[in-house]
Amino acid sequence: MKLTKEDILNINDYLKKKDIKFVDVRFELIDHLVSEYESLDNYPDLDSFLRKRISWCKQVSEAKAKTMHWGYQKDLWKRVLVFMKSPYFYLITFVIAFVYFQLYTILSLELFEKAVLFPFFGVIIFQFTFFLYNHYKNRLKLKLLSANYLFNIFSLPHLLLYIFSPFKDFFLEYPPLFLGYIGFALVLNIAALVEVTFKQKKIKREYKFLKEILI
Amino acid sequence: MGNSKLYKGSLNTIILKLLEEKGKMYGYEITQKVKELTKGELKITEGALYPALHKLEAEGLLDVEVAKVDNRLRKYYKLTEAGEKETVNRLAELEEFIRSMQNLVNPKWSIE
Repeated sequence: MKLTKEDILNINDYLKKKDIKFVDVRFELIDHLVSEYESLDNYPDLDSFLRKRISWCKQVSEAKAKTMHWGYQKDLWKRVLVFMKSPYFYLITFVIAFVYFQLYTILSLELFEKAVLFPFFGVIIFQFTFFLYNHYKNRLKLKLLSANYLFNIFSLPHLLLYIFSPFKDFFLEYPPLFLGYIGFALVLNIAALVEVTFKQKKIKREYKFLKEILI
Repeated sequence: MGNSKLYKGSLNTIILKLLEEKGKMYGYEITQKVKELTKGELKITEGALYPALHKLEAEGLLDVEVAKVDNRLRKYYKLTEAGEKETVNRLAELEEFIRSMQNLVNPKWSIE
């Protein structure tokens, strides 16, 4: 027995009610449930059929969220590796290190610290503005699991900023270490920004496609 | 099958192998194909299948394609280039494992 469009919408509503709120998770579950129901010999009542299957649907939804989170963290490191494979990366690093070495010889320690931290904060402020703009403009976060976890990519790079403060004095005693730390944090933050931008474009395309059919 | 636990470690390889043969498949189709090939001996549960598919997708071994089928969307999985290479490796590992198990369970004794 083929399920009607109305039945499929009822399954969609049922899953939504059961807290499977993301479209990109729901549509795959709907297809599975409909395929299974339609293949049964004696069709049970749709509600009782769904009640029996909701536990694995929730299990799949939770597992997908975890996979997505860790997958994104992995992609961040892959992006860093892509940077490191480029010869420009080493050229730019060399130029920046040379400039900062010159600054270190002519500036006071206090000014030098500001000069080093400035680009780092610059990137973070840019990320924050980017996040706010996209979050309020699109509101995709509420609808897609892939968008919901997207900005978690910034967590680890930002953590480097938070742990900088308690070790500030130690870092300033060893300027090469300070430069290395900030340099690494900067690379990780730029990689995160590039990765988020890349993924966001993909998510927007996916959302547009799904919106036309499901929502 | 009395003990599905024996299959547990091979789930990803089973999925990769099926996709290598069929080109592209969707979740429910995979469960049915496994059931058919094993004559009902092995039933892949949905709670195990989808997390495995999503993990393989996140690892870049699978690519997805979404198509509209009968008033709903269907997500097809297919192997990426990396997935094709990984399938060959994992099948070789599995075959080696099966050979070792056969030797352990059913050793061929010989007098040399």
